[in-house]
Amino acid sequence: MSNILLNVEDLSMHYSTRAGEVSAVDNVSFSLKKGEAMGLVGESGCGKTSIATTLLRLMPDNALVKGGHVYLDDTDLLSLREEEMRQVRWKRISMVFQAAMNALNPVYKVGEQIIEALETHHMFATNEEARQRIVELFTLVDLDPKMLDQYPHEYSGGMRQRAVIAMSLACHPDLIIADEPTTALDVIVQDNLLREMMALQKKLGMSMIYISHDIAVIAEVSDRIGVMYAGRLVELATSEHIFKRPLHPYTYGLMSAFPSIIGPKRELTTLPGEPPDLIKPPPGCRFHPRCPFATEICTKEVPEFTDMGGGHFVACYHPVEVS
Amino acid sequence: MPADMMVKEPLVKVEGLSKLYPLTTGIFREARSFIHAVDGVNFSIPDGESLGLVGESGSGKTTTGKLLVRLVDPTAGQIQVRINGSGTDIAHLKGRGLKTFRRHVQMIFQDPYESLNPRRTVFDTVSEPLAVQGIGDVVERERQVAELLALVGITPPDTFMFRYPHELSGGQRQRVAIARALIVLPSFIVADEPTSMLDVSIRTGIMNLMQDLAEKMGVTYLYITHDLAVARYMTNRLAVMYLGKIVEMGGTEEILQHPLHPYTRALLSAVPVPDPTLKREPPDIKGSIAKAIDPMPRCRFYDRCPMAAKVCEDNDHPPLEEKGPGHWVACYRV
Amino acid sequence: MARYVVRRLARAAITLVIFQTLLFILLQALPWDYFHLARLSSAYQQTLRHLMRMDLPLWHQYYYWMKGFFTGDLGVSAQLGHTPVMRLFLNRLPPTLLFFLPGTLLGFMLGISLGKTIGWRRGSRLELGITLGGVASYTSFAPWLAFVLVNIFALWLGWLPPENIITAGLWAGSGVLVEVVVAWLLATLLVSLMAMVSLWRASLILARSAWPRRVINLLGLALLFMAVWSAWMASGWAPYALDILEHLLLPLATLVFLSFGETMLLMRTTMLDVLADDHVLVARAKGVSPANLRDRHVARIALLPVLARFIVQLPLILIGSFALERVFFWKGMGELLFQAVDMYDLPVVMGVLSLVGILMLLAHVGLDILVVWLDPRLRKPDLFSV
Repeated sequence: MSNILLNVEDLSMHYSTRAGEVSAVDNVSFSLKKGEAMGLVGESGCGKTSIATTLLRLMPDNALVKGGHVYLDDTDLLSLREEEMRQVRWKRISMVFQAAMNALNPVYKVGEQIIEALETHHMFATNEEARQRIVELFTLVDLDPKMLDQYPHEYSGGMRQRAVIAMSLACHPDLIIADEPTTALDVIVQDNLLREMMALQKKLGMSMIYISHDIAVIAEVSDRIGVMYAGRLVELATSEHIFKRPLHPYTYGLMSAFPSIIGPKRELTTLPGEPPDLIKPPPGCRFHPRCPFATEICTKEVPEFTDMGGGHFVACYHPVEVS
Repeated sequence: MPADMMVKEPLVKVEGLSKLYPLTTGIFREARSFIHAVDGVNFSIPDGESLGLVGESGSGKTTTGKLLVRLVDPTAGQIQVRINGSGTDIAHLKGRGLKTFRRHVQMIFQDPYESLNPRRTVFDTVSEPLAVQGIGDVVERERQVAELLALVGITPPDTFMFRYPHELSGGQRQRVAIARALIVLPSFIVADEPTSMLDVSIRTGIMNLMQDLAEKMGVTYLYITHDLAVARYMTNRLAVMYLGKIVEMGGTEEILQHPLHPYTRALLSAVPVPDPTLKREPPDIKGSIAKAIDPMPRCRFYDRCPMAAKVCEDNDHPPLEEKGPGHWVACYRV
Repeated sequence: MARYVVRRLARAAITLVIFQTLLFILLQALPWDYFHLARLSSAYQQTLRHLMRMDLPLWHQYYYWMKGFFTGDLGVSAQLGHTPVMRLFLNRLPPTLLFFLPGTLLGFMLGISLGKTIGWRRGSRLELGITLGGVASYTSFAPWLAFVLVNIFALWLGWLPPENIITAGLWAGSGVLVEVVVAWLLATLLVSLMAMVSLWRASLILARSAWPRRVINLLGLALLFMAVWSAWMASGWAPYALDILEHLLLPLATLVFLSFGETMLLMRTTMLDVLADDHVLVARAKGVSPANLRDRHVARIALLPVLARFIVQLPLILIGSFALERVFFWKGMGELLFQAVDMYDLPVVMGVLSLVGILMLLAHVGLDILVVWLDPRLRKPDLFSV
């Protein structure tokens, strides 16, 4: 019995806008094991959030899937009808949205909204059972069950995020996608929440995909990390390899550009230029305009996403040699 | 250099600065409670230095920044700014005096998408301070704008001068905002989280730019941020705020390497580190952040402090005391 | 919540006093000589002057004016044989309420329901048709529309009576009073409304899913209908009640058509705004069905600004209904107002103004409370984002 939960193959997605078609996700492939925590890191516009919405088929109206498969166990989620997909949503894959979002409906009590998730997936028979379950969930995320009868605006930012996490756990999903779950939170609250999320993940044996632009957060929570740039996955490896032995020049540049409070105060390097326009992306490797190692082949052919050994994938003709 | 010229007054000196916001209750809306957003804050910033103000939400750092630029009026206290050689208390300035003051102190905001008027071109935005202060004519202003745009890295200036904000990237917009702040050649700039909404790779560009400009133009900064890693690179001195009070202040590296106040310690230990092999211990702090509503006469940090003792509860919030060279802490237990 | 209600009522009371005072000033500020215009005999003028206390100093007049207002003494009619104004109102108010209340309520509900539908499903031909209907409703001139409908349905098709509240022939000599039947109809209306609301709330508590709830609601409605029907039949007044209702149909349809448009167009706009909110995306991610998505997550929130706007619309709808009462000769307050103006009956006119003021203030307070009840964010202050 395979222990691969999710297998994404050659996923491509475009947005059609008035200015043209935006190539937001281009031939992304990766797989996720059961119980594994994968981090997806990249800057704004790199496509990481687009992948998340595509996995749950929550894309906006102007989005088109151009190709590829998303296999959950053996089913291709992209081939399902909408009603079938609704069964998958939340029950097999749920999502924790960015902390700054108003993820909760302001006119209903928080408890009611969690019950809605349970109801939608027929997870209980009586009102008492439902009540029990939501109390259980709140205790899991360290929230006072009395808060269940309060409204979202009576919660603080950190508490709201915990409630959202509790809600995402309601139907025992196999996979949780957390998109910038702590970005808008204070650092001490963030620390607390991340530890809890990691503990819950271990305890409940779920897989997780953490999406963030903050590499420090990703470093702490992920077993494996995928680096995205301009809609493509440019590197995928274990956390340790990404940080100690980054192979892709972008990854390397990203690491060096990140200020840290530990260690000696070193010079911060900047990545010259800006991320490319995805309506007319550069041919070949999309990073070549900013890459110090770019050669002619980089401008012509898209580098293959290859395994350089030990499950460390890179898409580059000139991977960085780090001593 | 004569001895008396070496000991100059600091550029900015804040004493007893407070800002209280009333909470309305009751049928006829009388204020019964107050939020002590900033409560008796003291610090000074010498010429050419940058002071970082760090803290979480509700700490009062943003309000302090706004007070220093007089976007908000203080409830009490003095703000001495050295304008034209002598210190002026800008806390109660009005009218003409206030307008003159604004030539010397400017602000850079957090959101590059919101701080530029979308219906104004880059030129309009950057030249506006000149127009308001009545400096130069149109030709002269255009020259100054071009010069400044080149200085902040928006090159070639002519291409960008007449573009609109939506035609620029986040990093470019923030550069325009910096140009706008610098065009009146202020001596002091308050930067409120100028890089937190930018991508990491763009962030460093802006950070380096601000440091270069500080050197070239002798600008003094108050740098407000919640990100300690950024503060490390941008500031030489740091003040840590909690619930409207400064709890620790000193050289940046000194505080980061040898934090004394328990809150500073907790804050530092909560910052995630980009090293997956490092096991980070959870911060030593209880409870969660509160609102500074009618605070009780004891240490503000009492509820959350791992070292809280009777002395902390029985006395007023501890005053800042020098516990090391240039290193000030407000704590009874240190 | 309770504190809010108390505060709101207190403010309303103050507003009421200010309003009445302003009316008094208006009364004193009338530029012409009322008595001359009304062409009253000088003897009568004397009586009236005395009755209206115009021979007293200003402060005394003010005192009696305010006192009368709070004790229900609005003076006597100048033209209708000294009938106390209050008595006239007691006869005229029920028909107005019988007309205005269902009219506004149905108009609002129709507007919300249509607005919700076209806000949710865009781009169909149905949407275009309904939107045009809404614009027509919003822009129609009330009396013109009334005349058109009367011409079609009453004069040409002959389906409905063209005017008046009753068919005089039916009632002659029966001893049954129109005012009484109307009052009872009004009572039935109010009781039914309360029953329906309770029924709806009960169905929410008893059944968790849609179909059992619908069954409960339908059954309850059927029972309610039968109860009402049998009560009226038993009283023997059924044919009279039906006569009034028959006369009500055309004016009611006109009022509903006139008032639904603005609500519907606004609801559509607010639906589109709410659709872009984050929590809607989260609800979709939860796998919530499209119907629940539309009703619970979008419509329920989109409703709030529309309700707030409705408060402002209400006086305008009332004016419209008064105009319609005139056109249809529906014997309510509006019809009385026009009649009084024609006859220079000053006390009656002032009385109507006072009463309308109170009604509008009550409606305003009621809706304010409703809005706060529906939007939890308004109930307790948001302490975390100061």
